[in-house]
This record gives sequence, structure tokens and C-alpha cells, in this order.
Amino acid sequence: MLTCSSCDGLTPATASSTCLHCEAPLRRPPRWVLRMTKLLGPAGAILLAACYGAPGRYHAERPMGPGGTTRVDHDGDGNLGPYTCEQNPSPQCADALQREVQPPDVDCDDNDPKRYHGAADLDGDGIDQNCDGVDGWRDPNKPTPVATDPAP
Amino acid sequence: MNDSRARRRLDVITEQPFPAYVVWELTLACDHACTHCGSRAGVAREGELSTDEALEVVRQLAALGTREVVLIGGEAYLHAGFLEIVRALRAAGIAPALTTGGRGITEELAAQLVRAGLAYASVSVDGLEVTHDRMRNLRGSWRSAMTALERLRAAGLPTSSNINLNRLNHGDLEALYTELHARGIGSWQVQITAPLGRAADRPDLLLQPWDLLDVVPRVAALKLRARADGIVLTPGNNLGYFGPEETQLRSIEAADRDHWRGCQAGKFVMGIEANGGIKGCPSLQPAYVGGTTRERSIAETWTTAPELAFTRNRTVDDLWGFCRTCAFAEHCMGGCSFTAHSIFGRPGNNPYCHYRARTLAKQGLRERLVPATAAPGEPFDHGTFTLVIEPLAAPDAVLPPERLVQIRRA
Repeated sequence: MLTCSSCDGLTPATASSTCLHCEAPLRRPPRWVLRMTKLLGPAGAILLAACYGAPGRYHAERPMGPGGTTRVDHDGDGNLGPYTCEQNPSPQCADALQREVQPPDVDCDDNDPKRYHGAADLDGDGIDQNCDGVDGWRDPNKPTPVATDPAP
Repeated sequence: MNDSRARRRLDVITEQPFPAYVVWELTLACDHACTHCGSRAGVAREGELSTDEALEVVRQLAALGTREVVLIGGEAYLHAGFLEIVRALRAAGIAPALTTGGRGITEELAAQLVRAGLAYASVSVDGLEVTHDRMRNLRGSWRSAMTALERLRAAGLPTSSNINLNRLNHGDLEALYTELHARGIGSWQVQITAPLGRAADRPDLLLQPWDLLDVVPRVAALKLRARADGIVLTPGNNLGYFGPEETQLRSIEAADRDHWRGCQAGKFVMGIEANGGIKGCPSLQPAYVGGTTRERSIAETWTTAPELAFTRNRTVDDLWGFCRTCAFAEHCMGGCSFTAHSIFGRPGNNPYCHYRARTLAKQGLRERLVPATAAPGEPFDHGTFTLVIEPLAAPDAVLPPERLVQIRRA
């Protein structure tokens, strides 16, 4: 199983090159690492993990945006921020940035690694981790059954 | 929860099948008549095992290497040999545990359980007071359950709780956690109500598959909260599977990457019915009973009965419907067998799946369970449902609580 660095979801290694949950690109460990892991067993896997990180936990690519814009993950939570010209401060990039519509999967808080769309949102802690506008997962448009009558 | 118990499921995973974890229905006699009860408990089964016969079962389990036995019912404490059986399990080196509605847990019984060697007790609490009492069909049931938790803890027993989630009670989930935390539980098992037994008579009570889009992330968030509080939240075997929160749901420690590994019935789990019937999981339907302790030894039934072996050599080819084509098929094997069987009359295709609901939702669709045939009215029986695929935004009636627990047979 590969772990998505964007949403933390699992994807079977043979199923897809993108995350089955959020469609972020998945990066596989090099083939020789997989082969050595198979050969060496758990002890070898631990040794390799110490060198290369836990198998399956690789960062998503950082795609280049249109007109030389880039997307940066400032808080390191695996969710990319909006297109910026941070790495290409040219007039052409600034112009492209003005014209481009921002992608829909922008990290809702790129300064806090615990806040992003799809994050588990602890109800009652006063923090809107999943950026759905409320603390916790309750959908304000969905009525939840509340029992009011006494039991028979 | 101590560490060895918390890791129970993990440390048997590479061994040959043996009944490491046994759930034993000592009697179907019960002091509740819950609206969702899969075994339709209330009155004892015909031909329940005597105390002597039960003690022989303990000896056989010890020989098979059983590590833990959870005594259930009905209410296990209504069996005449209850305490003697707890003592015998402990003496045989098996950790005895109890799952109870708690109504009969007096201070004296709690103290007796400690002296008998009970390892821990789990009290079933299915919501806040009004919800729980409605679902358990008994006013005062919630208070007695909470009192039981307090008495068991005061006697020195580690306590747990468990909940059956459905449309009546899922709104109480977060508030109930707060109540249980205040009562010092060490672990909490969250499962969904499957259409078994009395729940099969009440289809409006059941979650619809798309409800998992809301429920699973909430349970995952509660798991984080519970972990911070030192409580182990364990998803039941029929809650999941393979949404983005899968590892969060299934892992004990934050750094673990555990996930659902298929139904363990007949691999490391075994169920015993009060009349000695042996099956791979306590909630499986009567068709999965592979023999009784009166007919032959448990070891013989375990090793030879095909009814117990159905998960041991299962392949993706045994799956059907959505599960057959799912990317997670070989890891998941169709989720919980008894839940799938209770919907379609056979395992291998389980609409109560988070990944499945999310996949359909991405296409603007959802699956609705529509009752097709009624359950006949026996313990662990089931009706059947048909699956209707409809738009995700299709209207859905919001029924008042009293309607949700009404009997509505197909």
C-alpha cells in the first residue's frame, strides 16, 4: 500500500499512480528498494526506511503552474498552496498569475499543517481543521436525529 | 487498556489460524429487549449448555491456545454458572472479559467479578439517555449502564464501552464520548447496526450507505480526541473501509499504518452459541454453525467444518458486485461477512463501505438499501435488501425518533 502525502489515504501499489482518494500523484519507492525489502524482510525494510523514509510515504510532486508559477507547500502538510511567483519573480509570471484561475485543491491554511480540506476535524476543540466552516464534521445543512420523546 | 490487549489483533496476524479470540454467548436470557438486538435476546435458547458442559468448553479452549474469551448474552450473568466459568477461564490462563448492558451489575457482583479474575468489562451504551432508552426499549436503561460503568471501575476493573451506530443515535456520538470519558473508560468500540435479528425488522433504524460519508470522518476525529485522552477507540469490524482515514481508524498508535485485513472469522476469531453451536464469528447467521460442542470437539469443528473455513482460502473471485471490482478487493475481501450476509443473503459484496460511498459520491451517486424480504424472526436471522442507485442529492425522509425504531417488515 502507498500512503498519500496529501490526504494520508492508502492506495494499493498496483492500482493507480494517483491517490484513489484525492487524486494527488503518488510517488513510489525506487524499484530496487522494493526488491531489497522483499529480499531482506522486515529487518531490511527497517534499515531501508531509516535511509529512505518509510515505504509508501513519499511526497507528492510539486507541479509547475502556468506561466512559470509554482505551488509551494509552506506548512509541510503535503497540501499545496496557490500558484505563486515566489520562485520566479518575473513580470511574465506576475502577469500569468493575474490571469490564471487558482486550482480547486489549494491548502485552506498553508501556514498550519493541521488544517487542510479533508483533515480529521476534532469536534469541540474550537478549530476548524478541515476548513468546512464549522468546528467538527457536522454538516449544518444536514439535520441530525435528536430524540426528544421519553422511551415507551 | 493494557498494551497486550490493545495489540491483540496485530500479534496474531502471521500465525496459523487458531481461535485466539472467542466470543461466547453464555445464554440468550436477557434483562433487556433491545430494538436492534441481532440475537433477539430475551428468552434462553432451547438446550443451553449446563455449567458442567461449559467448564468442559473452557478446557477445550485452553487446549486450543485461546487467549481471550468475551462472555456475552443475552446477559452472561444470567447463566447459573457465570462466575464459575469466569474463574475457570482465568485458571486456564485465558483472559475472561464481559460485554453487558449493565442492568444487573450490582456492587456485590462487580466485586465478585474482580475476585473471579475478570480482565475487563465493556458496557453497551447506545447514545445519550433518551436515545439509549428508546433503542434499548427500557426507561432507566441508560442510568443503569452508567451506574454499571461506575461500579465496575470502583471495584477495580478496567472498563470499556461499545456502541451500535444507526440513524437514531449517530447524532449523539460526540456528546456520548464526553460522558464515557468522564466515567473513565479505557477503550471504546464503535460499530454500525447491521440488519440482523430485531434490527432487520426496523429498516428505518439502519444507516444508509451514504451516511458513512458523514459518520466515518467523525469517528476518525473522535479517535484522535480519544488518543489524546488515553482512550483506545476501536472501529468495529463492520465500520470502514479504506477511506482516507483508514489507517487513523485502525491503528493503535498515531505512527502505525494498520488497515483492515479482511474478515477474521474462523481464522483467529470464533463464536460459541449458548447451545454449544460453533461458528467463525459470534454475529454470523445460523447457516455458519459448523457443529456443536455436544456433537464433537471444538478442535474437530474448527479444523474440519467448512462453515468455519470460508475466509481461510477466500480469493477476490469469491467477491461480487462493487467489491469484486474494487481496487482494495484483495486487502478488504468485502469487509464484514455477517454484515454483507445480512443485506444480500451471502457475503462478498458490502455496501456499508466508506471507500465505496466516496467513489459513488464523486460520480454524484449513492446507494440506497431498500427492504425486499422480511426476516423470519429467529436469532441472528436476516431479510434481504435490494440496492437502488440514485443521485447523491436525492430527497431523503428525516423520520422522528419514534418512527426509526418501529417495526416495518418488507
